[in-house]
Amino acid sequence: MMKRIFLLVFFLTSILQAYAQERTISGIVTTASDGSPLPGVTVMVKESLHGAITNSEGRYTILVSSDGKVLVFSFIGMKTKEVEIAQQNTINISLESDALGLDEVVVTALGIKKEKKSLGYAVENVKSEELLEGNQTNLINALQGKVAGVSVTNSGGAPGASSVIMIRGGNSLSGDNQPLFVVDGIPIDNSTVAGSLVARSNRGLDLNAEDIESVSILKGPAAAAMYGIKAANGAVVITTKSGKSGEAKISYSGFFSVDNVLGVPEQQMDYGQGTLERLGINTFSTYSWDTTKIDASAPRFRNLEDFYQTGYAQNHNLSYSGGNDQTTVYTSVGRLDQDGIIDRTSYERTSFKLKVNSSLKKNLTVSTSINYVNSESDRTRQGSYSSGNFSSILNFPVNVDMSDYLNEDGSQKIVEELGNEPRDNPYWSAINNPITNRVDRYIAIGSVSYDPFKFLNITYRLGSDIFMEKNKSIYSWGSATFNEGYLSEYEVFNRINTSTLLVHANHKVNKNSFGLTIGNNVEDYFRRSTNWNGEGFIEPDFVGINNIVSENKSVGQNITMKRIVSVFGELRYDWNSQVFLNVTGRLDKSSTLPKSKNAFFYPSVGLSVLPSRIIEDMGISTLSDMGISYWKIRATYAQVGKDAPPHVLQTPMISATNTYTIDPEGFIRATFPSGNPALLPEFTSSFEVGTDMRLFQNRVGLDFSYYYSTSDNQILFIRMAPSTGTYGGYLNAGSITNQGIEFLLTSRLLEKGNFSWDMDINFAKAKSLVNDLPGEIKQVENSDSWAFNSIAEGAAVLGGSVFGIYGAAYRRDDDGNLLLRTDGMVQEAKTFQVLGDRYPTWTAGITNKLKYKNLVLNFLIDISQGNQVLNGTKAAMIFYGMDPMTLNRGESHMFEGLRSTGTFDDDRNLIYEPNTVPVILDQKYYQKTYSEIGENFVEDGSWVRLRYITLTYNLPKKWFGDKVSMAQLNVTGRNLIILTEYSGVDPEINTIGAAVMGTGSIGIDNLGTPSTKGFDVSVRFTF
Amino acid sequence: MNITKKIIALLLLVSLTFSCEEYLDINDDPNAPADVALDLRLKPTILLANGAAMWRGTREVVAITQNMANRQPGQAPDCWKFTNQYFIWQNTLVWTYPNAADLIVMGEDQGSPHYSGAGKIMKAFLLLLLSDQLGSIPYDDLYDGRQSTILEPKFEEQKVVYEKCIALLDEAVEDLSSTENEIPLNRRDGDILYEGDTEKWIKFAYAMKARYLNHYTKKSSLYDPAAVIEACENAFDGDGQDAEFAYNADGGQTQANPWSRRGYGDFGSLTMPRYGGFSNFFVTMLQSSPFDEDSVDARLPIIMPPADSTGLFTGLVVGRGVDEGMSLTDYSQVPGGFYTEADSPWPFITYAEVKFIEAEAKLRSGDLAGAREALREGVSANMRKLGVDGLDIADAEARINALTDADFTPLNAGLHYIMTQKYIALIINPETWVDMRRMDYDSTIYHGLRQPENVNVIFGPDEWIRAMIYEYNEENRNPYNIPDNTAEVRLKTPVWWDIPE
Repeated sequence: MMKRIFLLVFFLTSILQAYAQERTISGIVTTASDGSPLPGVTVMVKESLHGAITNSEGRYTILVSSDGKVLVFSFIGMKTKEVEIAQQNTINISLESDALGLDEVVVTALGIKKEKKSLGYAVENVKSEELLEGNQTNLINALQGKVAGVSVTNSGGAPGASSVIMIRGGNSLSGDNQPLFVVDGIPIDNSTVAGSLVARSNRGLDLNAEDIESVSILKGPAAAAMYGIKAANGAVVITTKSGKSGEAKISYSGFFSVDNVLGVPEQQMDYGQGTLERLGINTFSTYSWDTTKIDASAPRFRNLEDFYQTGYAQNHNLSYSGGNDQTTVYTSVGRLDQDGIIDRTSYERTSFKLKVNSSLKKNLTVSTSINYVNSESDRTRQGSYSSGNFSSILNFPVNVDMSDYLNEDGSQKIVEELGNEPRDNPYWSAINNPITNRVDRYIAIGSVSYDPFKFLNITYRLGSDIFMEKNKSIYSWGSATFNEGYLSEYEVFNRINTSTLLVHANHKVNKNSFGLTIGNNVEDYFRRSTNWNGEGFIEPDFVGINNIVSENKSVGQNITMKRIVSVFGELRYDWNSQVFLNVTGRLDKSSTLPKSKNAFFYPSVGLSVLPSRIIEDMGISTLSDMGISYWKIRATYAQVGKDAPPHVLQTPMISATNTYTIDPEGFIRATFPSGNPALLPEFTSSFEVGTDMRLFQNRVGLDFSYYYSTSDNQILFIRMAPSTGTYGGYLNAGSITNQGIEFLLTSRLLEKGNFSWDMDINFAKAKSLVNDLPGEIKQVENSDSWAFNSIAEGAAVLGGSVFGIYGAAYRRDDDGNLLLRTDGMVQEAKTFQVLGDRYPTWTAGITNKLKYKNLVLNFLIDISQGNQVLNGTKAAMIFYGMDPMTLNRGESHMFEGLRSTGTFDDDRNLIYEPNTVPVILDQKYYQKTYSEIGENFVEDGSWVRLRYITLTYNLPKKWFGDKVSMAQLNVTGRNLIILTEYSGVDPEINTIGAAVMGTGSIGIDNLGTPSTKGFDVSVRFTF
Repeated sequence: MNITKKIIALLLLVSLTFSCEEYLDINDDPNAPADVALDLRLKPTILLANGAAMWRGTREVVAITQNMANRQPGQAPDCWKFTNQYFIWQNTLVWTYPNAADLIVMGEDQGSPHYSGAGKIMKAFLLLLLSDQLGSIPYDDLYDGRQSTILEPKFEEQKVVYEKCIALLDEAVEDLSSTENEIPLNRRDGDILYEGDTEKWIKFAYAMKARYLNHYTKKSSLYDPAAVIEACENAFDGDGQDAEFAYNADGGQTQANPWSRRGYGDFGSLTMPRYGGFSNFFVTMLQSSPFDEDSVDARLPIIMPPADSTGLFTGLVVGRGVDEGMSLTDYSQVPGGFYTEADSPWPFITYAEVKFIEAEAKLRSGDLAGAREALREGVSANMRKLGVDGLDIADAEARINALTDADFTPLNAGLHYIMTQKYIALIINPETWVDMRRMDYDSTIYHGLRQPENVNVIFGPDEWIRAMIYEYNEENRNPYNIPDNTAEVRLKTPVWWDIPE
């Protein structure tokens, strides 16, 4: 007891002593260039956890204990400065701008800020202004072309459409290849609901780019070891804006934009309605296969082109930031209204954010933030579905006016053709068959940071990301597809709760600094999706599930749950700020693995050395003589484990019914996935080396990375032969290696008087290779990625790309000669074949910033080379007789190849001879042969594009007096120039959307809404 | 000291949260029960065997057997233009068969051999249904409820598959005869065939055995008419024993008979039904009956409705489509007949079929009188089932009784009577395609049978379709085990029992 009291007294005295010896230092931080005050600068006592932030006038006040010798001033985009504390109580300093981010502080795992130079792996940072350039409504699109090794692919021009983001290619054959998204230290949902019927949204779309301070891209498992499982594909770490102390600021930003389709596929204008029937051409048809040209004087209708209209959008954001030295507040509201290029399609987003940081006690900081987002979108059907608007338009030949779609009584004009399913007119559909989607999302984070001792910090953070989604899909009464109407609705409740406890300790002995972090993380994921649908409205004019008789209704529910509990640690060693060593380890326990084997461990080791500083310290000036002011070498080895998807260890029982078969009226063994009770965690191991160099007074920066990673024994969903009794299941098998180089050049090309030109070039070359697949399996397909008529799909190919194209090819002999039928016609190969690779051989982004006085011109040139595209849209155009290629209908053509004689040799092999029989290129050829062979539709999709160009004018301050501290006007053009050989609209395409796992559906063009180009005018004021 | 303690305490706290096994115990599928009781597994298995496997194995075959015909010319099933997109394979092997396999092992594990027996009958039926259309199929490497998944199952010769399936039917009889049985078949109304009557299940097993032993007719060394007749004797011996259940007319589309307008078979449309109507071949067969005073089989108006516009019974010529100047309403449509109402049962096998099998076996073993007797009972049983007027039945029976040995000589003359009557009694059953191939589509047996018009160009004038093409999913995912799957080879190469030895 005595001992305890003694300890307590000792403890209290030591604290009091600490107080007694502290003093206050204050000052102003300004920019070196123009002497203006710098708000938001972090001021730290070196080797302690004490810190302050400058207010809006650049002022700071900090308590310094007697052993505090140095103050460190750091700010993103400025060179960090260290100032020794002598006897003075005021320290005013100026910071020099550091366009090249020499001592840049980056946000890494779990919201921990680290100096970039200490990292053994590549991290790239995208700042708020860069993010806002180009006025993208989807945050993910704002990263396009800006980061080496990050690929972002849109899914078309529909408002609110998803985008898929991948860092350094694909690691997983059947799982998600997209990175983890983290907001202020908690993981958030960026999922996309599966299904290609409409262009669905990825949930990252809910984030308002205006609220974001910076985005750090952690590439690969090296950067992500601390985040565990979900960061195996890298992480997008988002830090949102916080209030700044000092005078309150109100900012407004807004834009108006005008969008149009980038283009539509070319269509032939010579032949109209017609289809070949037994007795000749039937001109009462939805096909354009007439064999007689339309009369020269007859009217022609460009139904495809005319269907798309101009889309207008406006976006307004208002934010408030303020506070005092103890408490800061940031709050904002944002509103986006976007009308699509198809009538009645739209995307609207309203967001609200409040973030409060408070450190009322000197060693305790409490932060709370809440973000509410409501989004509503109106969509139309797309893709191969018979009700998709693009494929429906193809049913309106050039001599038919699609816009004339109503009968006199107000009902829809329906073209019924013998043998073909009638379709709704797209104009009628846009009004009467809407799909509406509404999302309410809450992201709430609370955290407490406590420093019981100088060397110790304890942080606890609780975060919750909850969204509710409602989706309603209607076919109105009078639809050609469902004559008496159809309704399908679903509701999703999705929640990720995360609890994180972090304990940081630091200690320094002479030139040796040690740091230790220990943490615990608990993640709880829950998703419930409920759906109901029914056919036939009792009262034609009312849409609702109660308006359908009970036997025509059905209902279903799907629940997914997953929990992970983890402990992890990080040990840091730093020698004289010149050599940095990091060791991490993490142990995860996941609910999705077999109970006896649900824990798994993975480590990482990283090293960063600054030879430039070491040599400098040795008094050798060779490097600086060569113009090298900074040189860093880094290397990291890391592993990351991955668990199984939820609920796949046992084959479930289902009460489902296959198409055109009987209702089992009870439970049957699920047709997939077949359960596997023996699943083990999969591991990705990666090795990365890199170097970072600054030259010529930091005017040029070079950064180079090489990485190599292997993902072995993957938890793989394999589509299996039906004779296995299942369509597929999970097993541990398969191996992928990924390797690549990334290169980053930052430069100030020109600086003369008031003019400067900065150019950054990022370049990446990556190769994902499938090394091994189970059994005799040669490819892992994802049938969610089927293109029109099932001509081909995405697949990871053994010995080839993770992003292959796999589909119907011509039948050939071993020497590549076409094998023709007895009538001289080409034919389809017996099995599907590998047709191409959708992943680019290299990509590059060139960002430019030209500045003259108050004028700034930014533009981004984005390049992708060697990626192939599967053009399903063209296959459909040909099938319907609309493609200009079909103008040669009726011509005779002799295929070069070997023709079957129809006779067999002794071994029952068909005998072939060189072809001499011509065939007619008619409707039958194009529909039944040419358009069915996927090989015909694989094209080079390389492109170079001017992704955006923005001219910004900073209005002179004197115009507004004191009222306005910043005013800016800018004009942006998006997607204005695209150079490509691709025959479709835009080779950067992913019609099926971001939900497709594994091989994904990037590079598959399949009857989606064409991409857009447009202009914006925007303004930005700060009061 | 204090700090160290605090850190240790913290670490303990951390490891405490980490050891929460219970917290992580949430991986059982929350959407459906993981285990469904054995007595609830039988009904779905029977339903799928009929409405998924047999349906998808009949949907196209009815055009090959010329039961039905398309309204348009040159359509794929009528004209044998099959591809690797024929889906009996997955509907049998993925949707249905694993449930039969589960019945067998669950019955074994739960002391309920009656379920194993029912499962074995279903398994034999499903696999031989497949094999009869495709030839070699996997057997040992299939899902069996015990072994872990074999990714690329080996295919086995049809001969071997037959031996194994017939042995399975013998085991089924044994299982169903067991007096020690824990869970009764019909405990929760799951036995929609026989309401738990194991005697009828045993007869069902023998009926199946008779059917499959009778497929050996081209195999001189294997065909044993005595064994067939013996199986027939142990099979159904009267009315009301047919292996069938009534579809549900009051439920949803997927509960109604697929051949009915209400069902899921795509016969709902008046203008674009799956098939335009019954075939001219079948209608003509019923209109030239040797067993009726005015040559019109009394079953004709029961099996199909007359044409809407004419009130006459008119069939479509297979492969030709609707004749010029006529419309769909000029033909007898498929829905609305005895087998094609929403609640019509669609039998797996019937008492009548057993009698026709017996008739054929007796004919082949030289017992012509016995053959005629079995034929008479087969025709009579089918007429009774269809509710034909007693006078008409008596008339037919009398006419059959009047037949002599001379009428049944040579073999094909006898087969003509038996196989034609079997064709009528088995209308809309894939077994008819087996019969037609065993008879080599002989027009001296099936009078008036001709190749369809607009037949697939790969067939010569005397060539007939012999088998189907395996589904592309098997071809793509199990490429090294699947036999040659090119259309020319598959469609023209006879399955094992179809090759005379």
